[in-house]
Amino acid sequence: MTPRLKIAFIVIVAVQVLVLIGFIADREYTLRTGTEVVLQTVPIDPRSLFQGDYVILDYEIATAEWYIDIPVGTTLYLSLTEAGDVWEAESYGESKPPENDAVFIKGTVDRPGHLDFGIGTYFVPEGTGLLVERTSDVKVIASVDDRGKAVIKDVVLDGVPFNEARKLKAEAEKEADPPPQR
Amino acid sequence: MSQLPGNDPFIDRLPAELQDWQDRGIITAEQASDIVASYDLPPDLAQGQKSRGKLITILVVFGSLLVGLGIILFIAANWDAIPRAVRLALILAGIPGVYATGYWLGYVRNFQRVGMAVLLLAAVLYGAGIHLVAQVYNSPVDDPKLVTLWFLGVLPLAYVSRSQVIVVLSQGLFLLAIGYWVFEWIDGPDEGLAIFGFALYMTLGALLYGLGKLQSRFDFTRDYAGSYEIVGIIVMMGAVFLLSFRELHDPDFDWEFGVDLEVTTNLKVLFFLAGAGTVASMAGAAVIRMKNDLPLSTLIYEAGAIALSLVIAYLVVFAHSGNNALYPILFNLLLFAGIIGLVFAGYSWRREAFINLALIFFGLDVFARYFEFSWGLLDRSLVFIVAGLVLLGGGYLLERGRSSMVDRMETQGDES
Repeated sequence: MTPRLKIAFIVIVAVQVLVLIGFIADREYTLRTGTEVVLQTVPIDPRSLFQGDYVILDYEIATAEWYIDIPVGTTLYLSLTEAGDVWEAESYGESKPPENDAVFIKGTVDRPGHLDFGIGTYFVPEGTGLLVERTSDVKVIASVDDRGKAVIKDVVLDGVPFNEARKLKAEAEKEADPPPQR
Repeated sequence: MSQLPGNDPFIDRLPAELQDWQDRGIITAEQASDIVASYDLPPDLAQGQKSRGKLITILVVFGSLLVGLGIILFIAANWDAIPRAVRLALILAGIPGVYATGYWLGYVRNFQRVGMAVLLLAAVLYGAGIHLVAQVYNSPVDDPKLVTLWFLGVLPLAYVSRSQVIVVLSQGLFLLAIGYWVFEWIDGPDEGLAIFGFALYMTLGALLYGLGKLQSRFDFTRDYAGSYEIVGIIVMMGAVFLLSFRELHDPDFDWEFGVDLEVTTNLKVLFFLAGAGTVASMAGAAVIRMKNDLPLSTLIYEAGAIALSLVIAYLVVFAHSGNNALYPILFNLLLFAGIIGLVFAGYSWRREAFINLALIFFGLDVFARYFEFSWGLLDRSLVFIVAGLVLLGGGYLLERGRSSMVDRMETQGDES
């Protein structure tokens, strides 16, 4: 390899690593600096071949009459307000709310009357997707930053955080089906 | 006088040089055989080296892909047990580590094929890393930006590493990224997605072919021109083949056609950019040939064929009338013309790959048309029996015809 190509090779590998670091930094920024919000969801459960199970999540605030006539691909900013144990959409606009302390989430119209917030997927360990699907009340705890970007922090099933719910289910299965005795 | 390896340093080096020249596309296999014959060397010397080289390449490439797949599956299966920080550290350290290993094997220890295969593994792991980071943060893994980032990272690597396999990987990623964006921009499958998608890929195939012709004019990129041309032909002909099916144009399928087709601006822009890129590439190749006082020769015919394909692609998307008789005929004619064109091009330029592609698409076309027309007319068992007999007979005739075409090419080469 010529010296020039060697340098180019090193630069390319460095850029690839920087892309990954940038991706991680972007998500970590949202998790560490964002406001924690709880959103009401409706789950659907497909399967990803190479990544174990994942759950597709849809949100109550994602569907509204407000967005019906807005063209697909439009970016909207939803102002959120706390209402009981969840956060709800208060208003929307095509630019960020002007108030400094406003909590808002950014979404894109992916089909008429529906917004995609980029938090529609939650990866779960293999075989545990049904746990989410069979739960009647699923809420998502997300961190939303000052750009409106959101990252999922946890999923709550009937008031119990997901990992705890998994452990309880595993214990219940063990009690219901004890090992055979000699 | 017969020359044997071991008597002359030049003769000793010749087989390796022949192999290197073939790998770089400087000479064809037939020319290598001619050179070997002119020194009265054993005829299998050139082919033997090339065959061994090809076998090693195939083995190591498969090996690296299997390792990559295994790593991805292992990490995916045990992801939950690994803390987030460790997962991210594995990705950030692992990828440059594999790149370093590939570089050391390929350029320091001079195990070129194994080194290239490990670099290929690193390129695959880079893409896997992007998607695994997305998974760590529960971001959608079908986001088109992820595959686009993967493609943009691999493309310059292909040219720097001088690896044909990584070039082909970059072409595949390009086509995959476009597919992801198309699904992002299309509102749903009821909007002529199939017709639009295949017509778009026809245009993308033409773009890759045009880029191949342009790259053949520059020393640094000449080695890759062939793969761009071959991949471009496969994508174009594949799209035309899929568009030749009658059912695709049937109004009862409830596709929307012509001016009613709800295509977003992004898709229209992509379509026109691909076409403009193709025209620019072919024009660029022609200009450079003219500047070097080289005849335009077959470039004119290639440009004509590409232009015709682009016009048909645009017409079928933006002016489709829903006529389910005209369009299958049109695309079948285009497919047939493409097959004939490939045979002539392969014969004229002594490129066996073109003839092989022509025969593959001919076989696919015959197969598809037979099943399309006979399925409803004959008893199913009879359909399969007749199809099998036709394939056996067709295979025999094609093999005989192909052998005689290749023999004729070699004979013409000897005479010249």
